[in-house]
Amino acid sequence: MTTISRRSFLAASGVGVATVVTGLGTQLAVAQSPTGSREKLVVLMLDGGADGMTLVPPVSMPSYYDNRPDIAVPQPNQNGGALPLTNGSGNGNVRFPSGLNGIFGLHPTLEPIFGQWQSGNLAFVVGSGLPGNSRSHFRSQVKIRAGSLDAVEGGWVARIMNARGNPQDSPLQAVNSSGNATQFVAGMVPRMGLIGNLNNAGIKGFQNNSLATTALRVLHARNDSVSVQGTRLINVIDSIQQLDSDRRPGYPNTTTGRRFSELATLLEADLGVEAAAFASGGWDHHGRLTARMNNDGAELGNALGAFINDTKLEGINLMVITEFGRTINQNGNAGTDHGKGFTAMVMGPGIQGGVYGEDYPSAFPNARRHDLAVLTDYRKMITEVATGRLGLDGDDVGSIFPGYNFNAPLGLTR
Amino acid sequence: MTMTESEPCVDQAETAEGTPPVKVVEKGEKVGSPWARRTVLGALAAGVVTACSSPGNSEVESSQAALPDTSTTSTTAGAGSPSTLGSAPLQVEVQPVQTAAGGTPDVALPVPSSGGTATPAPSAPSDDSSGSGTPSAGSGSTDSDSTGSTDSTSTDSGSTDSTTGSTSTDSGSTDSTTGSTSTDSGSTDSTTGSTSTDSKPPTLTVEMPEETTPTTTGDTTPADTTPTTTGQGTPTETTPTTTGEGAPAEATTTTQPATGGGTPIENIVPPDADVDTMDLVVRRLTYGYRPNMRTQVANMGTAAFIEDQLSKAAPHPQTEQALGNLAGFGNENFSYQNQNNQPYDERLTQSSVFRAVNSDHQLFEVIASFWSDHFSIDSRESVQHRNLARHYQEFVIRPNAMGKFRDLLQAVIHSPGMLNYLDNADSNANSADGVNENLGREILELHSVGIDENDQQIYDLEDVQQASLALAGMSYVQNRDPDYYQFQYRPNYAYDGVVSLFDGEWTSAGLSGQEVANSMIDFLANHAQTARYISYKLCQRFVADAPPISLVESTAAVFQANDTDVVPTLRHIFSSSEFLQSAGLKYRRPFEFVTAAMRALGVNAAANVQADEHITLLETLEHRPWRWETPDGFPDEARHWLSAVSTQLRWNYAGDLARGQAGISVNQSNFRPSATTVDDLINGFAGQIGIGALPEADREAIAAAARASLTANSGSVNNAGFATMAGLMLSHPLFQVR
Repeated sequence: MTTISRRSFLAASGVGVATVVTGLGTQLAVAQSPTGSREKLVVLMLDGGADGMTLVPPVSMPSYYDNRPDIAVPQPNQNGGALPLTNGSGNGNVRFPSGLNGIFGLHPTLEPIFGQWQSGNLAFVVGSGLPGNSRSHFRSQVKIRAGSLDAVEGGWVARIMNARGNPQDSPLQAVNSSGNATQFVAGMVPRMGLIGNLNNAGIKGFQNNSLATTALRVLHARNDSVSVQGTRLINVIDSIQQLDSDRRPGYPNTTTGRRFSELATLLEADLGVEAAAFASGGWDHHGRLTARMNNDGAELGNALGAFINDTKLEGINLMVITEFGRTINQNGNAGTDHGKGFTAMVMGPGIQGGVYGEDYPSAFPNARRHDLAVLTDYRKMITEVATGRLGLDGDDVGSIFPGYNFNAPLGLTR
Repeated sequence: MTMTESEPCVDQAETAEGTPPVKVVEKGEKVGSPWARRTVLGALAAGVVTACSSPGNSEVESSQAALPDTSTTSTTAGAGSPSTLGSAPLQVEVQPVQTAAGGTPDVALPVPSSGGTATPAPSAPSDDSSGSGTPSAGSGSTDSDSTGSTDSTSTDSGSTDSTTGSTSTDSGSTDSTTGSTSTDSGSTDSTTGSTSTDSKPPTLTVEMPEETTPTTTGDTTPADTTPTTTGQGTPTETTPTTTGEGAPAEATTTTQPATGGGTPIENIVPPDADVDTMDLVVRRLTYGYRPNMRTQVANMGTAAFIEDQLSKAAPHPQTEQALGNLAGFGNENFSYQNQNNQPYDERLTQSSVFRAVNSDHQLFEVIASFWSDHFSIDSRESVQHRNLARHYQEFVIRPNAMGKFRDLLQAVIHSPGMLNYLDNADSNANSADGVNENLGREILELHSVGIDENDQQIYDLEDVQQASLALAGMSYVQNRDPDYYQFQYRPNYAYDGVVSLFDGEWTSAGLSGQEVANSMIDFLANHAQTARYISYKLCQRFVADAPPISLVESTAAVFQANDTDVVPTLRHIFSSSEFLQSAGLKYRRPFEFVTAAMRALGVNAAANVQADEHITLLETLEHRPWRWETPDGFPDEARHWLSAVSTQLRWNYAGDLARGQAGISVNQSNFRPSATTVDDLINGFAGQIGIGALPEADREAIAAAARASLTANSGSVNNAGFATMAGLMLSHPLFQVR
């Protein structure tokens, strides 16, 4: 990668209004420092309330099959059965709270990520969620992305990045996919915005784009957010433009696949991307759950698998969440309805593989209204990744999740 | 999370008839807290900014200097007020003095300098008055081509030049106006009143400048302006009680310190200079200037312009006719058998763009868009959904956009589009499944009383269920032409028992059949918390991402006092000091940018409705009309929209559009100022599109980029050179602000 000179008018950006303005004309020369030294955070949100009991079914619990006579994932030894999440040979590194070993399996379509399990780098937090969250998609998604039941500004990915700072002064520190995912990174001035636009990169609208770029640099020599964003963009736009925007080998030609491909391209180019937030819709499986999960699970598994193969998740912490779990019992349409606790996945070389969620077996049969309670606050998992892998310290936790009392860590990171 | 305080924030009783709802009742702190919290943030932001602003003021000063010393009119008063909004400079009329803001605004967005361009109006030579002599006709969107009009713009530029010429801040002469910004200038202080220093609440003549403008237009305007205003229960404080006959103009308002924190989360920079009131008004009430419009508005007077727009509470007939004449748009056929997917989908976008670009009833279009966001439905799922959205747009939202909110809410809840989107059409209180609670929830959460920024709400789950029961039976049928979709009440789906809301504040006792839902909708529409919620959103649309609580409260009072009538509510907002101080607080969302760019170039959208580059852009930036997934509608906060990708795609679009490469043919004679020097051209266009006088460095840079094909100072400027200039101007940070 060629060296890019980066200059800026902002020394650092803090949370929200705390952005520090150093003043016009005080251009800070920031030493080129590869982001390789800092770990990345990638968040994929499965919008619609993905059914954790299908993605990671409790295959050894009879009540699972009792509640879902038509839609349960078969046991590992059966046709179309789950992959066993055990502590057997080859994956001796995984961790189970007492009583969880051997309970769960992995949906067969997620086989592409099974290698992460075997390497001991894949963790599942069963029964996770935001305590007290709504059963409404809209409300609960907003809260999950915000990281609080209370009104807070922006999203928690933005707050993590703001707490971390942006020493490389990248305009691309965070990328995101759709409008829904935007909330994760809302509150960050330096962010690339929508992914999927590499092919549009470059200043191309003028008769003489080089001269126009020179002029745009002057026009954006201001302190406001629009100008800051523009200035930073100009500083790296040539580098972005040189990137190959084609889908990388091995990635499925699906929405999620293309996004992960583009993310891999950006990461490889070392342009300062440190966070990515994607949303994948369509997980509201009220009916025909088995068939739809086979389809959607394959899309998810193939995209994740390609990303894993491509990047080896080197320096990457990849998290898959949703807004809520679903009912334990199947409904009349061979689907499930809105519930509470969901199953989160976290993976990467810095993640201690295993299954977390101690009270799962006891919570399961007693679940009120036939859904799984939230056993583990999902903010615990994020906090552990932020402090254990992303370099934040305990003082930062309060700014990421205002009002959240972090305690009793799961031991999720290495 | 159930909220206890269902207490209305505004005392309804006070709002009877003629009595302005002066009194704002002490509200539960819960209700107020969200804004209070933001106030703190705002104060912080202001602090940060102030601290930081001084070093960077060089730019500011220069642009300030650009202010025409001649400016008889515009004066900016700095808001010494603690309010965050207050930091933004405020254009004040008449006073020779200009107080600069302490240099501090909190918002991320750039603020244009009220360069000489702002003022031309007053000094507008008589000649162009003739040209624009028909201001009432509406800001000549249609007549854009009349080249003669360019003169008017040139006058603008002319004035600018004078100023720009003197750009260098130092010039002692200009001090009177400029000095304020830079703290140091002791000399200027005398005149300026030393803005930055003293926090004296500037007594501002806030109101729309009637005086400024040579009332060439004559008396037409004043008449309507005044009487109505007063009649409306506009709360005393803010509203300019327009007293005078002829000139409604100068209502002196004491600026109350805007308490709220209009502090968007991201950055935060002092405005370069003051912004002209007229430009602010036009950017907020419209989709931007068309080529001749600025002179016309100046001649008309800002106050008259506002009243004129408020009076146009229905679609612009000629625009509607032109739209209907376009292929595929006339004789709407809402049956979906004969529609194929794609054209119909495009029609939803194109009709929105067409109206925004062409209609003279600009405020109406802005409001229609506002309600389309507030009552959002998603058209993407199927052809039927696009048909429903089209029906919804034409027959539900637009006919009720500038009337009473209560009527609009009734129409929406009775609409096939909403009943389908939120699943109420099949909600059956007598089925084993029970009612569907989607609409019951959203009518509370999003459509009426709302959830405030602190997640406080006056309803609980029980209310959601009760509302859903009340709505059961509200359904629709799909007929063959020409009836399209029609509301249908299904008695067998309806709930038989008595339902109630908010601990009995409303009950269906004694009502039957459709009366139940209708009564509940009226109750919700009239509720004090609804007034507050709608006011918050209106203020967010027109004033700031996080509008000041003072304004939200006073607006809610007006809304209630006027029986949920939108027009007096808007009038109150537009005449408030908070509004006038809010320059630079709103970011043009992608749709607003695209349409503003087209208008700036005088594009006649009729000829270009099939062009697709803007559709691609809106699609990419996820702001295509009727394509937001969730029922909360497109966000109206800069932090959602501002990103590197968005910024870069705007540059390319601006450049393409100006060159005629965006699928739209551009006739430069429609927008090119008739100027002879490069500076005239640049200033003329900048003024004409409402971004004020640009700093010298900006002008130099733009001229340099265009120089290859532009012969400076000779008057010969070829198309490519001008296209480059125009493209860069539309890419300017200031043009991204509304």
